[in-house]
Amino acid sequence: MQKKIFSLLIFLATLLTLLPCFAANEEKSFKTLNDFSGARFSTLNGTVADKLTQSVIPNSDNFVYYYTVADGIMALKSNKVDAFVLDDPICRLAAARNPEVMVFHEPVMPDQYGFAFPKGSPLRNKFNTVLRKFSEDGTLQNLRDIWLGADESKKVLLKQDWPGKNGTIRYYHDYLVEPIVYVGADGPLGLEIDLALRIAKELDMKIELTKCEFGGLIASLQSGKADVVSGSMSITEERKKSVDFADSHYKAALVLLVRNDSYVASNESFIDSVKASFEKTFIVENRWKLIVDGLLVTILISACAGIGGLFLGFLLCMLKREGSKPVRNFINTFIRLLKSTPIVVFLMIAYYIIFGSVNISALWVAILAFTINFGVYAAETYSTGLDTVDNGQREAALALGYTPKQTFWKVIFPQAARHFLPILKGDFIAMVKETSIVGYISVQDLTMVSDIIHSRTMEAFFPLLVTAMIYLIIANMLTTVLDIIEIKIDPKHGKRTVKGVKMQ
Amino acid sequence: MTKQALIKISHVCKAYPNVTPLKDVNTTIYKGDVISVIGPSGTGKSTLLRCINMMDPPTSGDIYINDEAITAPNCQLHLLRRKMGMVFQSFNLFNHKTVIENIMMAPMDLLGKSAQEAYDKGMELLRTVGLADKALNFPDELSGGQKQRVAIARTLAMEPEMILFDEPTSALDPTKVGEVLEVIRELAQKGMTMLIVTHEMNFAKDVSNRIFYMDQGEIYEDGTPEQIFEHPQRELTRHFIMRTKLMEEIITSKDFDFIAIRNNIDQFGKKYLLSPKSVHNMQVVFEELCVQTLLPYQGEAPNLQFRIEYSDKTNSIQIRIAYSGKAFELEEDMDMISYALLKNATTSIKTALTENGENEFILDIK
Repeated sequence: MQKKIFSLLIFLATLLTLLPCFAANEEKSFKTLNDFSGARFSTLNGTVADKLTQSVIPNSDNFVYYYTVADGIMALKSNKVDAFVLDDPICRLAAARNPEVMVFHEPVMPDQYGFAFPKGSPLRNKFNTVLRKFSEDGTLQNLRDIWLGADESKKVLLKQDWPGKNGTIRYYHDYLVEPIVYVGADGPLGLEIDLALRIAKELDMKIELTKCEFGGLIASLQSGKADVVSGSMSITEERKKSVDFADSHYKAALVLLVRNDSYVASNESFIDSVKASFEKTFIVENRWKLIVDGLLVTILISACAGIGGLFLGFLLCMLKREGSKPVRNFINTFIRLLKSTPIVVFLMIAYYIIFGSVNISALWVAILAFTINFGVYAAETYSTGLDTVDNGQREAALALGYTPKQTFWKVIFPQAARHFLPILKGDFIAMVKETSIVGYISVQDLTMVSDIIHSRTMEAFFPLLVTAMIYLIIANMLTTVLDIIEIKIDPKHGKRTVKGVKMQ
Repeated sequence: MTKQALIKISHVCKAYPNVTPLKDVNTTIYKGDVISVIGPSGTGKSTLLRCINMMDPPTSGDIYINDEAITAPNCQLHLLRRKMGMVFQSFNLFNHKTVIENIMMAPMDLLGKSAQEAYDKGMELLRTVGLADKALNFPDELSGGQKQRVAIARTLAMEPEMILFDEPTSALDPTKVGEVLEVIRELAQKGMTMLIVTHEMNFAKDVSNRIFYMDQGEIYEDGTPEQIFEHPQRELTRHFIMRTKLMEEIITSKDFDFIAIRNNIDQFGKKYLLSPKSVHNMQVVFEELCVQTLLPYQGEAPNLQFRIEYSDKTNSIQIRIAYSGKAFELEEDMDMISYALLKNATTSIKTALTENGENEFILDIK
């Protein structure tokens, strides 16, 4: 097993050394916005930055999309793109943390953020009243100064110590956009979250925070999961067709983040840079705790879905084989439908549509979705295993006088197990790795934690490698356990003897 | 001494959507009977066996085991099955168990025997089939003959009142057939009631006290080995025992395809490697007797059945010609030359009546 890990590391190292060679590209110099005509752009998934850029810069339709700011900056640094287009507070913070990139001096266009509500929500007018008041008494300006400033000690959220007589606001927010909405040592932080808390206090309402991928925000409004969402969301005509916006609370601009040509790499040694990365990833803000929590969530989902799926799969398999014709048809259709749906799509459907109007924790939805998904695969696997047992085995047992039930458990199942266990093992490990998508429905698992951390450190490689390593370790541990079980049930394993008998 | 009936089969029919292997089977099997079931393939021999222990429930009819109907919907099927062991063509040993575990399993699970009891009994049985040294081997480590002997020992461990053998040697290498038949022969000597579907005719003749010849979806002929093998009473039994090959032509028109029938006789000869002389003689009989003599005799509406029977076993050829209408006197009415040719081509000419009451010539070909 050590050998395996070692060879994997060598493979990764080789890949990393080779990467820059592939990315090498001729340098262009950019003086004005128009020089970017024909350049390679990138932005975040689900934003409108691409449309806005195309309306200003001619010939700018070469866009690629990333999930996090950190990924965008990595792409910029490795010369995969020429400019990263996003809102200026985000870009400025990124530039401040990465001397290799800088904000281009000309903004693309002004922009403004707003809180979004479901169409016709009465909450919107209440927000607007408070926002007007905050604008007049200087609260809004004060908040901007705190959250865009460098003094981290001031970046503290309001405690919810008011009675909240007027109900609760369910607030979904993006969590990867420092300083607007992000995750700090003790949970969510950011200008918009602080603002939302203050508005809730004015309205004497409690507020319930939920982290959600930017791409899922509008869906969570439409499905009725959320009363209000934000995440440096630009107010656009297109979005106004599906949601209502409160008055803008932040006048921003769309800017370009470009490579800093005058930056000269420091002579920091490899060991030192790993040390610094380690410090940033694990030690600062006690981030290792986040990783442990994420790991526990991943293990919880995997274990529950694994056990649940084994039972569900067995039930489905038996219904499919022994049930009446309509039952069999139903089960077959169910299995075919689920097998042809990508798990991420199924997860979102489960969360936003099936349980859209039910108050159920996203973690339970994730466990349920993975249980069903694994169950469907397990059902097919059991079935394949049972099919490999020759019908003669069943007949021989029946002819000896076993009942059909005894025949199944004593003769057929143990023989099928030898065939389906190795496949089940593969299915299970694949499922564990697939749980990495639960971030889509705001469950904070290992992968989401690594996203959160690398959105803060603006460093993609280290947290990703750490995550990959943890998955590798989990998968290998599981494989070892399952291997042992497999060997245990192999009848030819071990000494040949008859138990409980004095041999002749 | 009256014989004790063990199994009564009454009007059993088994029909599948496109084939009916058992039309109407009726018989009684007595304690101590060793019955070999023989017959061409596809005549329901295995189906009958599988109906008896309800592996394939009959479509209609009743089967009684010791006067208890195994075909009744509310019977304790698994308890009745314990009285009848079954040995399969494909052995069906439990692949995940060792030889001794295969034998110990059912007595422990079903008869409540202790491991030690089951083990001791199992080893004893293994010794009787000569495989005690293979006790700890797995089935895939044995030869076919060894597997079948273990399967027999496994069946015996349940102490059944009778054993059904479903072509026990058909899947075996010819060199391994003997060792399995030997075990069955010993069981027969010990008085075990057995029903054996087999293609081993000599074995069937030796070991059984009764033979079922199955054909046409029924037990076509039931008798002692002497009766079935030496003096079969019915036509299909005789064909089967003599391994008869048949060719049949029915002529109902004066303008029949003469060339086609001559060609068929040639082909028949080639197919069964008959001597050119025999083929020539068959042609002579066809031409002289059928074409030249009987057809003109029958007039405008002939009705003639021309049949060649070739016995592979005795290497003899017989031609039977059945015809409607009055009997024809060969010696008196036949053309002299034709009659001389006919005499020349045959060793004997007999006349008879068919089951339908038609006149028939039976000619043994030289």
